[in-house]
Amino acid sequence: MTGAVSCLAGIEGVGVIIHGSSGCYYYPATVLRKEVHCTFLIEEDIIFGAAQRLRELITDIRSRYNAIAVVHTCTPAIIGDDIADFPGMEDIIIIDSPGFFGTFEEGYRCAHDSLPVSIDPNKKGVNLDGINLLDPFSLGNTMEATRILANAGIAVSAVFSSCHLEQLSQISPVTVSANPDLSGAWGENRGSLLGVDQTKNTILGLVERGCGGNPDEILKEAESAEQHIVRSCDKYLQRFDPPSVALFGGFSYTVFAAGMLEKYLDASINCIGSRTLPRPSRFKVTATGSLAMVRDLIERDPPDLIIGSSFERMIRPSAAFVPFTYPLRGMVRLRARPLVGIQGELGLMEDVLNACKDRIVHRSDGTAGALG
Amino acid sequence: MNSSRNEGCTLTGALSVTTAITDGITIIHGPDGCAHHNSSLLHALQVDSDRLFAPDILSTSLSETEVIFGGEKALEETIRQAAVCEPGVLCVLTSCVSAAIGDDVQAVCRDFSHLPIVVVPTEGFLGGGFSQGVEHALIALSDLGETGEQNGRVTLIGEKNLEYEVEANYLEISRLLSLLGISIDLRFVRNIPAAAVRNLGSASLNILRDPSLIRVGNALESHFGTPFVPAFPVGLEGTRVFLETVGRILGIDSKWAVSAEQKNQNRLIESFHNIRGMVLSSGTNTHPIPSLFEELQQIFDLSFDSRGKTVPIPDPLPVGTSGLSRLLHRWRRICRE
Repeated sequence: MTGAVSCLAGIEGVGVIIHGSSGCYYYPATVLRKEVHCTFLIEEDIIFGAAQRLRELITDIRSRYNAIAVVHTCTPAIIGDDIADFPGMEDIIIIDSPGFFGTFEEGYRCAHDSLPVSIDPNKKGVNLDGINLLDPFSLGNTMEATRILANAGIAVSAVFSSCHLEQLSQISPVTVSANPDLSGAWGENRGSLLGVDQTKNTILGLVERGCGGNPDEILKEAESAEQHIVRSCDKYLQRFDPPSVALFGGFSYTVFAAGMLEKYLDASINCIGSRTLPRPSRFKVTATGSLAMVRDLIERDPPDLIIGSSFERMIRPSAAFVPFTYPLRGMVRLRARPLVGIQGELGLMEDVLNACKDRIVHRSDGTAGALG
Repeated sequence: MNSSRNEGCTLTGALSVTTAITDGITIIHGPDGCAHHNSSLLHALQVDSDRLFAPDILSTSLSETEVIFGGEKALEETIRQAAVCEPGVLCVLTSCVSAAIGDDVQAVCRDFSHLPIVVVPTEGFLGGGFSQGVEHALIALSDLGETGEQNGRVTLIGEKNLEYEVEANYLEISRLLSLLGISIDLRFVRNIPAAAVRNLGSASLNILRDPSLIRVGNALESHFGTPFVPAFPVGLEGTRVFLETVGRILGIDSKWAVSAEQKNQNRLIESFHNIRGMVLSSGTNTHPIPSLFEELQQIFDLSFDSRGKTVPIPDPLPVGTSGLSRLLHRWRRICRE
């Protein structure tokens, strides 16, 4: 449910209704920081029928939006509440993705694929997908992807899921991804922008396909960025051993970060805990669906560095920590940080080196880190 | 069932209690989403209170299959998984999904009678709201209590574990009780091991966090014979009355304590003399002005008017003299702007 709401709430012009109780509503409403509506069901509604309450809410708010989307929570889905057949409700986007149907990503994709999209074969530019409001890199990724594509002479047609509904009525036939875990059905997928290498390949592929433009500026910037990273990592390795690392987050993000750390820092990857369905990879990736599993992974082979959320940070506060996925509590984060593109890789490596150095220096002078 | 539409989930209320047992594990018999968003909420609120905290929650991960064929097997498996960790108590919480599909959770748990299992009937929003969850969890966990000799001490019942000021409120109650020469024996339930709940029947007095827990107070009085005070004190006069009430119930002369607190309150009033005559506004808060503020209006000659400086009207209201002092500091800061 939260995945579906996260996708829909990113589309300006869509009024999102959570058809469920306040308990189901508060989490997405709080973490997404977007206006989301709710039918606020109570037990009596389930006994006497909740559809009427939903229809009334739709009637109340529909003049404020270009479209209305209703996301069913568990109980209305079980009792089979349905308004699609009611007169005047035919254009309502109904997303049946209650919590028991699956994961966040499945809910996101279900909503993504239900959006009223029309592909224009002649539309220039590309679409960007894999943007998710809950992702701490959401805004940064949109900005960095747009910058990189613009520097290669490629316009962004639509962003899934952070654009206006009108932009979906005429999207490009080509899509690139900021996060392949969330890639959906719209447009021919031409690769991702995760990492400098992948960014270069994707941009070259787009130019070759006739989507843009000139890749020279981006290739030059990428080369310079790689030199910066190599120089900084080499300097680090002159004084310190490579860190052992535990990574937690979505599959694509964590595998990208693990590859980067191995490539530039010769880091050893103790474990990767994936919150999304793992796919084949040269790293051993474990699906982690609970904090108990996360704790087990970390305690089985304690790492020097944890890349993940504040959950993982808590389990081993003595490790260096780099914020990577939600929830990120107990810290102030104001600016937009990308993970994709050239700035994304630079930023992640910068965070890793600083966190590892801070931990070692604090240990040697006898002081603990902020939460150590 | 009288549940407010915007009160939040029963499950969340119950979790705010059960996850405060330090050696306990809580099983949510529901979809992973319930466990995820509640874990995230509990984590966020505890980190905001400078406490590193990952709630020990397991989910039975109900999926479409269990919704169709029943989720009792999933519950059995999860109980077995939790038992490996030998928790002090294993709390099993139901959700709206398990309630809607009609799983017999009690029957499943009876098959594990060798384990310290407490079933908390929560049923998500089908079981009421947040406060019903708190109430159900406290009553269910009280089954771990044992009747004992009254020890002359006090148990705090139902501290609001998600409240930002929870520890400050605890310190204030401790301070007030110390004026009567009384100490707190048990915090039911806040950061205690399951074994500590055994002492629940030994307290000479229970102090409820607020009157919404009256049914819990009645249940404990009926079961253990422990009298109760219905709420933490609010307001200056309310704090003095609290001391008198506790003293009367425990057979302690409260005159000295009340007099000492009166002097403390006089000092407080004097230190805030410069807010006298201020015009304040409760902003968009449409709730009626509580009696606490009528008391403050009289003491400080304040008036509430929409043209005044907008000040916070906290909910719940500040506890004791210290809580009121902190509130007045916040008001004075705003009046200086």
